[in-house]
Amino acid sequence: MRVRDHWLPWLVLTAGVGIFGVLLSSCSTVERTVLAPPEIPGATYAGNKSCAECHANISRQFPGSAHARVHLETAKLAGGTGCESCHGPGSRHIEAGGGRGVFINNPRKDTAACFQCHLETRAEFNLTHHHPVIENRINCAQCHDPHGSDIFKSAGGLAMARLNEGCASCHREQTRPFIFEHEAMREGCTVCHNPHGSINRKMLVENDPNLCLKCHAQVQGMGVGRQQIYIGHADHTAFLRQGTCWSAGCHTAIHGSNVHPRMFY
Amino acid sequence: MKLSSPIHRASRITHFCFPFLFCVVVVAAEIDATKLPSPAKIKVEFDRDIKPIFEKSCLRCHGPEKPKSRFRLDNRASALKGGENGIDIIPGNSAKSPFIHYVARLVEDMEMPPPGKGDPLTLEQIGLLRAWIDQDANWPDTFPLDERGFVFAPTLRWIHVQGDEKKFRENEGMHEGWATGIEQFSLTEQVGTDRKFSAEGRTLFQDHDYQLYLKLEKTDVGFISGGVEQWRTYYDDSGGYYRPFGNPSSDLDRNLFLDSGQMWINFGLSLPNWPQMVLGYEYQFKNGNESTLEWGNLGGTSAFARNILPAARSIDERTHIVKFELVHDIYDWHLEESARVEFFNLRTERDDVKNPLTLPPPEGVVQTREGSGHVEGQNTVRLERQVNDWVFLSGGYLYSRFDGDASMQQVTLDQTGVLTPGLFWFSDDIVLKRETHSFSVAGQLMPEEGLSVSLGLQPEWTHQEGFGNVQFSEGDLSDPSFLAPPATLRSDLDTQKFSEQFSVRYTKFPWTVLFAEARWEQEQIGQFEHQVGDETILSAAGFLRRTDFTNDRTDYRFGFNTSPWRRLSFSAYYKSRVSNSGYDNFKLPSNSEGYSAFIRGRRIDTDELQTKLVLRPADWLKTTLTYQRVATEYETATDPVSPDISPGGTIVAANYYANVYSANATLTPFRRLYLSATFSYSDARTVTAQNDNPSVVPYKGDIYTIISSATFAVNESTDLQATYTFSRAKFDQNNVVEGLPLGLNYVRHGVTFGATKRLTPNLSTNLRYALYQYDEPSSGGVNNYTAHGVFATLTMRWP
Repeated sequence: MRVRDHWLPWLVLTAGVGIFGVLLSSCSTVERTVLAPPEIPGATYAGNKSCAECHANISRQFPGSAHARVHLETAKLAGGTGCESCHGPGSRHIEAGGGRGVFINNPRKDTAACFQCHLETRAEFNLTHHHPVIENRINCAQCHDPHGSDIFKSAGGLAMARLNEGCASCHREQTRPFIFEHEAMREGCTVCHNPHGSINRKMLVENDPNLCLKCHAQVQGMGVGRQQIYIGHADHTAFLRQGTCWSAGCHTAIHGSNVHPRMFY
Repeated sequence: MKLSSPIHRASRITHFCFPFLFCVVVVAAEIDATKLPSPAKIKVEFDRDIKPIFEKSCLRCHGPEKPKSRFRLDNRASALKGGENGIDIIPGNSAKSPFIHYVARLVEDMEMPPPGKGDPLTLEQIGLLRAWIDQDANWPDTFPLDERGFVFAPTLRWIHVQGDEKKFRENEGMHEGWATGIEQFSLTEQVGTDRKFSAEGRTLFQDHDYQLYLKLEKTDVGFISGGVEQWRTYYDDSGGYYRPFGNPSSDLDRNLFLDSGQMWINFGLSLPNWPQMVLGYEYQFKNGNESTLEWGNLGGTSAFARNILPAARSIDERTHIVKFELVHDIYDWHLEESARVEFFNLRTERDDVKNPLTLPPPEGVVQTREGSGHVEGQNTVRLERQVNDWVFLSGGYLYSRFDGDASMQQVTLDQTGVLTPGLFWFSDDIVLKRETHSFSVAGQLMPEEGLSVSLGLQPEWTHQEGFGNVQFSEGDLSDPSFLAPPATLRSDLDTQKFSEQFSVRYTKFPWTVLFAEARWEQEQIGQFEHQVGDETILSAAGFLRRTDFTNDRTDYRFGFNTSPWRRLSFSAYYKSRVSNSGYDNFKLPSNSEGYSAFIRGRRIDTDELQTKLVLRPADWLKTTLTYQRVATEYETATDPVSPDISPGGTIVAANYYANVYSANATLTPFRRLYLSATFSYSDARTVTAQNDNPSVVPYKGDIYTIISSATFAVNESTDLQATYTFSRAKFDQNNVVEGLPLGLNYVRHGVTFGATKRLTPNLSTNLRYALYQYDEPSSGGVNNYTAHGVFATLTMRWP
């Protein structure tokens, strides 16, 4: 048995022994506290009504938001669904007279608050291809309005999301008009991409011809042999053997083409 | 114009405020000072005696942010200056200071704190405030909260990679080797009582990761903010892997990366009683080379050919944006206006391996250069009003116009880079236009306590048109018929879309919220496409198409959230989403089968269920468990294709389902230890109609994820941190004989151990060791790596 083939158990064992040693040797009278986000040192929950006194523009639209649908002032589990569940307990922020970042959490800067509840989304951001949210280069609020009436749009603008507008603010190349559009765009970018993260490049939801056949399958007729695939009037059997629909110079202009109705270029 | 001039406005404000000032003076004069509590007979110390009163009872309304009546109590100068009601504190004379009259509740409708905003001050507290004013209202410079601060954290990093360095860069977002930079930089400087400068940023030179934000703001005047931001995205340059070929996937032997970023500057105006305005300029860019999935062919026309050769393209994208935003509250109306104009320019270049099924050898590439530019203007205006306690209304209008052009130039080259027979398409005059009008009306009603209803309606009209001439020159350059006459392309889209939304929330059941939501969309598109002139090699003969497209989309969701005990919360919802599309196609020539205008209908039907249980069995332990199931069915209807290729009709094109199980536990078993762990498992499966073709097999597999961290405070100056992340994807496919397995199979570990030591109150160090390990059998092991990294950061903090 080579040690390098079993590095993980050794690593865990070494770390465990180290941690145990540190625990034993550390002074038991230390007074410091390690806080679990989004806790704020010395602060207590004040309730949504206190927030509304200064943040009326936000709080008056909040009842129509996706986050309000589970919000309950009388919930027994305190601080689970209101303003302070994401921004942290607000008593010290109020005592200080408010202010941006003054004893208050801003989930735009630290997305830990979002991931307390959205566990499956946090896991998606850990996959190999993801938008750089956990790297703090973009944040959840750039695509989702946490207080507004439609979670599928960023803040501002009209009340409801418009098709692909959230993606278009960065991905102009893919969402601009084309002479021949790919009609899948009418279903929205998420019909092919998982914007949080995927194991596949380009955050594709599937990495093979299944992605396209979800919409482009057709009833095969009597003149088509078993195991043959026709799409439109063209026999695609040999093409599909080779790989995906968008590889080898085939349907490469997948978001739309200005020259070819079949998205070749 | 005249009304909005500052002079006129100032005179209006003075005119408006004068009676107030007069009243205050009169009220002050009429106060019976004998009703005031006596001043405390001690030497008042601000920090000990006064500051706690302000913090507990005053600052929630009279702090630096949006102070009520424009009266601030967070610094001496502002406090003595007074607010909209004039001077409130007269140093040396508490009996005549309106501030004391208000807190003593001697002035009707001016009792401070107002009812419901805090407990009235005690006689002792009022006595202290009187004594403080009588003793000249002394106020140390250290209050308000000292906002001066400086953080500077230089960092040093070393990473060694064994294995595929490019895959490491793509997955971890870092370059191997030495790297230096500034992990965090921030500066906050309070300049006087009403001016603040702040700067923050970071930089890592080797990763070309830069971030700098600057802001200078003056209370009640405005701000200037600006910044620069850039990050680098690395790409692995390897292609696909086909085991029978024996060799692992090939690569381009190129260091691929794309730099993305933006620069911006904003000028903001925040004058009292004026609209809040921001005028800004922004420049966004993407520049570099990215790998693509348009992999090239290996094997030519043989039955063993597979598309696995790696591909990349270069991108140079620049966008200039000018924007203006205005926010104003006037007569109970809240107005938001946003206008922006974008100037977009894009250049791309890519090489595709020649299509071997239609072009004869020799092998080569089709080199495609594309350009695109547009100007897009967009204006949105939105009005909101809280009509009464239970009605909130909003409405908006959006206008957008897009004017753009595009070009493409294509040449076919052989392996030596010499022109060779193939595709030579060319176009430099493609014109694209789009115009959109959209309205929005929404309301929130709370007719009784515990019941809230939201309603919304949003119609949208879009007209889009495209026009261009393309030369489909194809074949041998030496052939006299090589140069094709230009084909003319034209398309029009006229879209009408209506969206309606309704939601209701009911909270009258004890500790429980019930909610239901619905959204409907009806879309109609009149589509016209016309091509005059043929393209022969890839089969795009001239055609005329008119399609009436309709789409009905419904989205229903209902569920509940309950928290009957202090230690438990449970929620669940069910969601149904159906998208039903119909295409009424007219096409010439009518015997032209296949795309475009081939699909007649499509239905995408999705059901989703999610439950969540939050348990807090002890104050030091919080657990969250979630389960989500998503199932989607795709149906497609197509035209018949003769002879006997397809009778047309509807087919269940695909089925998809996924189950996602997640759990999180956050523990603070004792207050010096914080542990957090998230585990997620998902299984997903997509099966499409493929007529038993062995090339296309179900796309199915499992993904496991673990994200965990621990922080332990060893003593007053030392913290230990550890993190462990893990993900495993198992999407193997068994179509190696008749197809190309494209499902990924990998295991990825990331472990870090670190310690933070505070050397002095202003100086701390952090040292971390990291291990990264990635194993990807589905690429034949060519993407595997193991990496070790050491990170050291010194953080200087002041104060």
